[in-house]
Amino acid sequence: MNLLLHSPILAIAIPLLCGLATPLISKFGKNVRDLWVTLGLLFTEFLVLILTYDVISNGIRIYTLGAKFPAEVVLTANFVPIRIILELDAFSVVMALTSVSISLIAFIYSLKFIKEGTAKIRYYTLFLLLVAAMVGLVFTGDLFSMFVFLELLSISSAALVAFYFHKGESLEAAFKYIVFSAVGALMVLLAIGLIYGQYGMLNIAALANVLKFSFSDKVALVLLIVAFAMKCGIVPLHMWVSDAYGEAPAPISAVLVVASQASLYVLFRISFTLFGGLPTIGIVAWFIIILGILSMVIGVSMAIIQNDIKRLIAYNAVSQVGYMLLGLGVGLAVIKNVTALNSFGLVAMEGGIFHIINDAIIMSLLFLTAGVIIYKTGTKKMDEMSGLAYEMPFTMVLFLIGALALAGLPPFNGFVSKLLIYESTFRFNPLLAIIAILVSILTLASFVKIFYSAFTGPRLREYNKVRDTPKTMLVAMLILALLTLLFGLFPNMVIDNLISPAAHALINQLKYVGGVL
Amino acid sequence: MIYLLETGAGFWNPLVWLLSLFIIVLLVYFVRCFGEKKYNSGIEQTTSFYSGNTPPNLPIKCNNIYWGFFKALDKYYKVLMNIHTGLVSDYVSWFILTIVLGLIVLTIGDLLW
Amino acid sequence: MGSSVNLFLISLGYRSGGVAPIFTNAPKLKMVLPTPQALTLTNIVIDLAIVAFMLSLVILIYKRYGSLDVRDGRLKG
Repeated sequence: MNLLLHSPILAIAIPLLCGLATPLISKFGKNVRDLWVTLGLLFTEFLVLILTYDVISNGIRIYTLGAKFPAEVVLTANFVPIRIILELDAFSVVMALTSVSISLIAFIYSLKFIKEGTAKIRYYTLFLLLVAAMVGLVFTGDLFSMFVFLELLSISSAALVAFYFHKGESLEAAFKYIVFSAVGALMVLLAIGLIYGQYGMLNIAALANVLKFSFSDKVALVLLIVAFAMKCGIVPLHMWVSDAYGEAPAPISAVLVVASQASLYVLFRISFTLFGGLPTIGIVAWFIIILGILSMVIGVSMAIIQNDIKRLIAYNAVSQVGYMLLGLGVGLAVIKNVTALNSFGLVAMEGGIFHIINDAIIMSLLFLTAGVIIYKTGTKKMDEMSGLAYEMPFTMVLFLIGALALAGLPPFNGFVSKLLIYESTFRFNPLLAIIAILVSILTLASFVKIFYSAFTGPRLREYNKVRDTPKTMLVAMLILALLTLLFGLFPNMVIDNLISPAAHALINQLKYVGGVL
Repeated sequence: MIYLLETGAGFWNPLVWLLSLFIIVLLVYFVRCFGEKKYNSGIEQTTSFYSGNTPPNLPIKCNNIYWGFFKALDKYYKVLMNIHTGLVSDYVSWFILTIVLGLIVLTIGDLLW
Repeated sequence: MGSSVNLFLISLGYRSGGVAPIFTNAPKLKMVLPTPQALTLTNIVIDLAIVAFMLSLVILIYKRYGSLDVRDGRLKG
């Protein structure tokens, strides 16, 4: 069996199977269970890596489920593709690589963070289901399987947010998250129904070919954009973000950030590829840009005023999503104008996509560091922490790396992606770039707040010496910090090989359609 | 290894950054050498100046560190905190509002284009 | 709300004078489109899982907070 040929579906099926088999395997003992989950995640990572290499060198890869020759598409007489088709282009593969890598690192962290007991079986099962849902969401080429994977993502992540169910707050946060996600998913289904009723097909590439942009299509577009914007945590639909990220266990917050970026992938796939030929695409682009600016400003304003570590980092996550929207919205606005596209549109898109990867890495680092702080002091409120620099100097350095990287200081990777976004949006409209820079400064201010209260200051009381930071947690955070530094010092390695093909693949609607038809 | 990243309007080269960092650190060290070389620690020369009053003994909690900022933007923050109520029904109403807003924007833009 | 979307989906596949899309012993008439029926079934199952999950959360929230009023939540701002 050719592994590369079948790896798209294997990358979705392996985490699913491993996750569902975990309760059975864990009857054999703790170490067997840990080994099983590790093997599953490592194999998925390996599959996604070989897929990345293949798609970036060779172009789009198609996988038809259940056909005799999976790499070909089965067409009916009217050029309608039947069967579920997975279509991988450069952007999907980059997102899948980020998702699985960050999940692997969060898994290494959670080996020691979550205490032992039957709860851990539940944690691993849901975690693997979440990974399967994320990979499925970015690999799919079909609107309805997108809906199914979106629901799987919502349910497994909500169950993980409610993980500590002895506290009322986690349950309340999970309840808000699931209600909101369910409403959003129903809107997605309504939009899919509208599109299906008009055209009779659900395959994204085939639809991009025949879309006529009538009024009901525009209604479907608005519903889809707003519903997926809700999953990403964009203002004014961002209220669940601080609750859910704040109450989830620390590695789950890291993975939730990546899951919301997978939804951001879907948002851009819909705007660029499916509705890319819309004559009034400038309006959609300005809508996205305005939402991005609002997210940045409101996210960071709410972040400075928080007293709870994880809610502060969560509001910063909201504002960083605004940056990604700004970058990609500017790219969308100039998509018809070839000279502007080549001079700053592509740079803006590369900045946006690079910021997706950087934000995943940095936010995970920050959430994991906050997890270590909470593990050590036992409290989440910043009023009660003080003087941790004496106990945990290593963690302090890692937190500092994350905070400076997010604020956009050289030589970290946040600086590079933000530089790309600032320079290109300045040439599009100077006001946007000015607001973006001011928001960066306020981001730094919010992290200085955490640094001041948690790390500096006198030692308040004797922290429990038994709860020393386990080595696996430090290793996970160290990998992320090294990636931060590496991507900042040698950004060309990532941009030329991963991001540029992704940006070109997003713009090039014809190639996506040509992959299927 | 390629060290240069070209954006549309500028470039980022980590070697140039490292070199400038090195030069700036040298300058800072140079200026620092002009300071007082000896001082007695532990006496009043090294404590903060409180205009002659005794320094207060309270640690400053994290709520209070950006006091001036919050006081200046008080009206903005009052509005913002009232919006973030934490109720699920409000979330869903924001959702519907955004959809309606999007539809209005799209139809009006369509008519005007 | 889920029921209304399900109804909308099924009504999409209607063809006038059509019969149920089953191939064994079918009368020679036009069939109603089967794809939206598949979508609806999937949606019903997903809604079942979500409602079950939401109800279990509500039970636990009642045990911890003592009231079912949404305004009694402790997460604000």
